[in-house]
Amino acid sequence: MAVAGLTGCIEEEDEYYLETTLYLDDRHTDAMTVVQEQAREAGIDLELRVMEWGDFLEAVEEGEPAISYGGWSGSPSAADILSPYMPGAGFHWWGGFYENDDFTDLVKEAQRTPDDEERWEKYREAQEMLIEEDMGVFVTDILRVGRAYHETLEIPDEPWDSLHGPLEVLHQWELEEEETLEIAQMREPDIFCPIEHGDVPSQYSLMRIYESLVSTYPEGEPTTEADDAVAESYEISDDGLLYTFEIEEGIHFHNGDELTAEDVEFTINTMMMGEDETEEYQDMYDVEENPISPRDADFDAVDYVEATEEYTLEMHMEEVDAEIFQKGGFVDMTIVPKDYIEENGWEDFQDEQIGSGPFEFSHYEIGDELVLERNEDYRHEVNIPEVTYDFYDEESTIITALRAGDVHFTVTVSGDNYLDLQDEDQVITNAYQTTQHNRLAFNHEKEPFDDVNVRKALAYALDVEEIIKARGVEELYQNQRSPILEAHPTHHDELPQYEQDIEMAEELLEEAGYTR
Amino acid sequence: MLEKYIESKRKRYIIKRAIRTIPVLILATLVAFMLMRAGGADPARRILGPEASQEALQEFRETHGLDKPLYMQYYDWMSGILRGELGTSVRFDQPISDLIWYRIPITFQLMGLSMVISSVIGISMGILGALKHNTWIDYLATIQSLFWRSIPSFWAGTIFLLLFAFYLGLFPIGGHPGGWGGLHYLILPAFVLGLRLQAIIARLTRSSMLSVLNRDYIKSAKTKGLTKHRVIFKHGLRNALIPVVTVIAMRLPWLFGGAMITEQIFNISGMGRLLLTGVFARDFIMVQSLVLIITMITVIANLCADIGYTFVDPRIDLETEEE
Repeated sequence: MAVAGLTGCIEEEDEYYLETTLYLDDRHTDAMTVVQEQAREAGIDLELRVMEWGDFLEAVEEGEPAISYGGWSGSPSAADILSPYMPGAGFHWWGGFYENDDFTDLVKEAQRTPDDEERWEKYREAQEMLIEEDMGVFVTDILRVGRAYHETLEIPDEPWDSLHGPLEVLHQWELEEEETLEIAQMREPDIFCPIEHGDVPSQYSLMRIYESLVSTYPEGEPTTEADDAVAESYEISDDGLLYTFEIEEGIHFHNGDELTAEDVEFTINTMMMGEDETEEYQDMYDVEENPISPRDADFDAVDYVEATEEYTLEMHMEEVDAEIFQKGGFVDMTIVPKDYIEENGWEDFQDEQIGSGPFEFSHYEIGDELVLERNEDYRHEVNIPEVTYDFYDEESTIITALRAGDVHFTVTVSGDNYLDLQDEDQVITNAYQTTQHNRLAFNHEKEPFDDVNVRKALAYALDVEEIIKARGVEELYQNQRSPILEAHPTHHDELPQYEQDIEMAEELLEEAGYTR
Repeated sequence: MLEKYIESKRKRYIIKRAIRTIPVLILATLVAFMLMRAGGADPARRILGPEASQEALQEFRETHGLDKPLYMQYYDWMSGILRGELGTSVRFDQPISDLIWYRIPITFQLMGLSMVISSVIGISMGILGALKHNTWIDYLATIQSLFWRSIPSFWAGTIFLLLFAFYLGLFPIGGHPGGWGGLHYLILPAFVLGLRLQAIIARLTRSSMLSVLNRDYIKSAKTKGLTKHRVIFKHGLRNALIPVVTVIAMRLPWLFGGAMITEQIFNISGMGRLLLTGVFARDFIMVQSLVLIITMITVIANLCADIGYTFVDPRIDLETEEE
């Protein structure tokens, strides 16, 4: 087994200035082989250590690698996307242990700035800081997700760039003949629970059963216009500390109960309860076995929520959070029925899955399929009577079934298959942007990348366009200087860049004390 | 008198043979238990994901008994099995017995069908090869056997799907509605599984048949003036099939192995696919339970084959067998 980290400064007769090990999981081998070649030209020998995903996660978390390549996807909130670079955030280790109080303060300040332009400026400054000091973000490539569907299916155009893509408006889809819509999914839900879910495969179906207060579709901007937003309107006080939501009357859960402000209050209170607040929660509501919310931190700025009238909800803030609607707590909000849960408990509710969304939960056979049925009483038209999510292990089988029309829609298509499908007449392909960005993450606590000159040297050694080409499907990847996605209002086009410059890389390495 | 003697001998043989499977099963539980714990990522970390806190990890380990010493974990698992509890899947948070129960009909039908396919084709090919020894028919049978043995099942599966399901539209493209029935979903995967086994059966039937056909009793049967048909099927085949039947029974675990790949390609929710999912998710409890069940099925099948032997061929010396 290779020993992690630096093997040290190399003697004169050696070909390279330094040798170290780059950790990656097995999906990125092609791109990282190009990184390896380019780095060698500048005298940096990166031994690739390709690992299985779980082992990779563990190694990175334990701080084993001096440099690693991986991805991070946050909610559309800029502060969330930048959170791996801030100590104290859950994913700090994932950002490569970058620590800078000025950066952290700046991001927090930006988050508290209600004015869009001012906030934009602060995020720009923060990202420049990151690029100058960490460089990891420099080799960012943004992942776009390829999707494909059969021609018998009609999908509205707009939502391709939203968080869950066209699935956001699943009820508006139409099939040529009224039948079951078959959606193919490579990964199965991890946690099929409206409060505890954090994984995208669960959200594909959960978010169709439940509804949110406001919708962040399209493009991360909060709106009450979308079909699945239960708020009719909302107001934010001038000081940004009080949000008042008016909830649409006459919305019903699948069991017939009316959805009121109390249900939303109950849902937000449940989502605010992390691991340590279980007792507090059980004092508040007489419910045993409450779920542990993974999104409690998204509500850190919230003081409390209160249903002041049957259809009016107030959210009182401790401090301003200009991006609260773009955080997971709001983006992934799934409003659950308070009365039913208080009466029957969480466990029973988990089996029943009662929401107010366009589709009702029918059954879930683990490892096989998950079936939803049309909510006949939904306040908007639902075109498709039944939706089946089929779980596959083998993408080639999905592709064959898709070409034959046995599968109507596939939530992800990998590079080569995406290219092949583009030539198929009966299949329509499309790619949309996600918040995921992949990058080289430097461990600032480990040699040789504890030295800013070495980090910079590697940045100058690389030609990012070539690395992205190695991925095979350029349409699915794009070189971006900022981890913040293009569709986001805080995205910046004109951040500083490192162009490949081998001489500069060598100079920097020598400056750092390495010799060839 | 002689029959009674054989009968009592047979009983003793069966009991002894059955007792002998117990250490095999215990060994299997130990291997299954240790395999999943031999290195690799921490299951708690893997299941709970990177953002899990130390407390959550600790709680998970406690819930699943991972904080206990290995021998205690093994003891807990074994005592659970004796009470008929296989435990809860770490990956799916569901009772493992429920997950397996759903898949048993599917996998059994798939394996049964592929056994029928492989036996029918394999034995026919073997007989043809032996009877038309050293003719083009024999060569053809040999080549086809070699061909199917060399083709990896993931490749054959993909090609079959494309050809018979997609282009010709004869079968559905993967999937299975669950439960008993739905055989037309299983025909293609059963062929993929069965064609490899068929290749082995064909080779074995051919050589076994050739050696039997050269025996003295066949020659004397021929000289007695029995029809060729009767000589081949009554006297020849019956004897030639004994090793073939054993091989089929012995190939059961191999079929399970094949089912892992085939079920995955054809998107069938069987036990093989569940095992594979469990391995990738490091769902150690589920994997060890599945391995145990598969081992049990295999051991029982072998036991049945051995017992069946004593009926098919009473000449088998039970005393020698016992030793």
